[in-house]
Amino acid sequence: MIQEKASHQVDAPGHQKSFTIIVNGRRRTITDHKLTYIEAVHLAYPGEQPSETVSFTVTYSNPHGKDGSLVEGQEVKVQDGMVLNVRKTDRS
Amino acid sequence: MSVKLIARSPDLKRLQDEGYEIEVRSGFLIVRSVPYVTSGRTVALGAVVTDLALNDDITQKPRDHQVWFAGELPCHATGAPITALGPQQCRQKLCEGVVVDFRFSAKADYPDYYAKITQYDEILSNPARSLKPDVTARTFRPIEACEEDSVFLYADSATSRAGIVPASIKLAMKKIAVVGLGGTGAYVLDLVAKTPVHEIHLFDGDRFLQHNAFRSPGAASLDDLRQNLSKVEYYTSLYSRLRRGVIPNQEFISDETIGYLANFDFVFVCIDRPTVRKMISEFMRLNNIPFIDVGMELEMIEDQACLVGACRITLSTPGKRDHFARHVSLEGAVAEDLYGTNIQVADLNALNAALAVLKWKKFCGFYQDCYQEHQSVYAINAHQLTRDETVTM
Repeated sequence: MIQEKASHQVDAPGHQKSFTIIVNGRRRTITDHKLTYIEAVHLAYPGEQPSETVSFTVTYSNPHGKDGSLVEGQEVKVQDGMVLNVRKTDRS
Repeated sequence: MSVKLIARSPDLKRLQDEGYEIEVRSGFLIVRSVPYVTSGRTVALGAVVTDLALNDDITQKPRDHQVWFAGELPCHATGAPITALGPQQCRQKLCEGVVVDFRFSAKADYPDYYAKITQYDEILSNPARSLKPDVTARTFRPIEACEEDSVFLYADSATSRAGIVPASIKLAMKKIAVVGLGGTGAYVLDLVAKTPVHEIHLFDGDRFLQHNAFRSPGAASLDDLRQNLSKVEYYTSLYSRLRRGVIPNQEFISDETIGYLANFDFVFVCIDRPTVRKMISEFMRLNNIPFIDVGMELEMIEDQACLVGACRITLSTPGKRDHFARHVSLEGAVAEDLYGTNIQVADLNALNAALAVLKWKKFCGFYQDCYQEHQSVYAINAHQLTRDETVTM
């Protein structure tokens, strides 16, 4: 899904073809230059669906540049080396 | 506490026996009616105040040679300031009823508080006596017995030493609850037990067993484990060594017991069942109670043999509740994942608890809170703390 959506970006000037990022501790290569909350959840948990009652905490950080978090409806620009964590954070 | 403390400390007892008007309050020794000379060459009465180094509610050797003073700038009989006191202006409220104006620094190695107080008394009173020979700080005026209304079994001398009593009293909520005494809830209790909260009600139906011991504050003994106590019994007995007002409720919060959570000033929700969390958050909203919900998730990366995960802290207040469902799962039972198998992560439990208690202290006004974030996540592998759901002032 992610590869399809980003295919038109491949030849765009000033954009990389792919990015290496870390998702929940594992190295991943993606071609999207932007990542939405839902896409982030699916990257970490393929097939799982956030809903009104099931939430994931999505945080991203960059070796250089901005850190932040995502909720439903938000997206972030993907950068090489970005660390993405998608968590349910329900345990205590 | 004041009376008992004075009786047990020979130096304070001697000051009292010699007629000084002494009082111990919030960890400070206050000596009132000390005569001194003002710049206008009149004799006035001031108060000398020092923090007390205490152990077992008995005074120790003073930790420094300095005192505070409530009054005008003290002078020699000529009206010239006593520079030997190294007076520094520092008007501040040390604790309820005690506002000081100066900090003095008459250097000496004072072996006890008798030596420290009498030395400062002499420096201040002698010039006064040269103008009015009969004035003295030894008035023998009876001091009303002040039994302090403290929750602690021994005085919190750390707070008075640090000079943060005025901030600390903001934390003196009447009733708070800790729901769930797993790893995180136990550390929340550990931290709030050391604040002046009057009552801390504990809610948990589980027993304190061997595997709990490794993610609990302190060090449980084998004997503790053999007693087969419930968690709330174990923690109540542990923290009752420090303070009054720890109240055990050996119950899980369910639709039958949810009513117990009415009339609290603040609630820490440290549970791992989303459906119970949903019920509690709804109850808190209806009853206008502020609360913090904490949670974490951990995952093993098999091929690297290491863990990744995150801690979450979500504050919900009468002024802002809309974000709660956006950040917190409210559906489903506990899954059989890594954390569910009681993985030992006391450091993360303690961190999650510390962030929650820190947020509560911000809510109370103890710490400044510029952004009033209601949602925060600590991601371990990125060493990242987020700040979301802020409220602009």
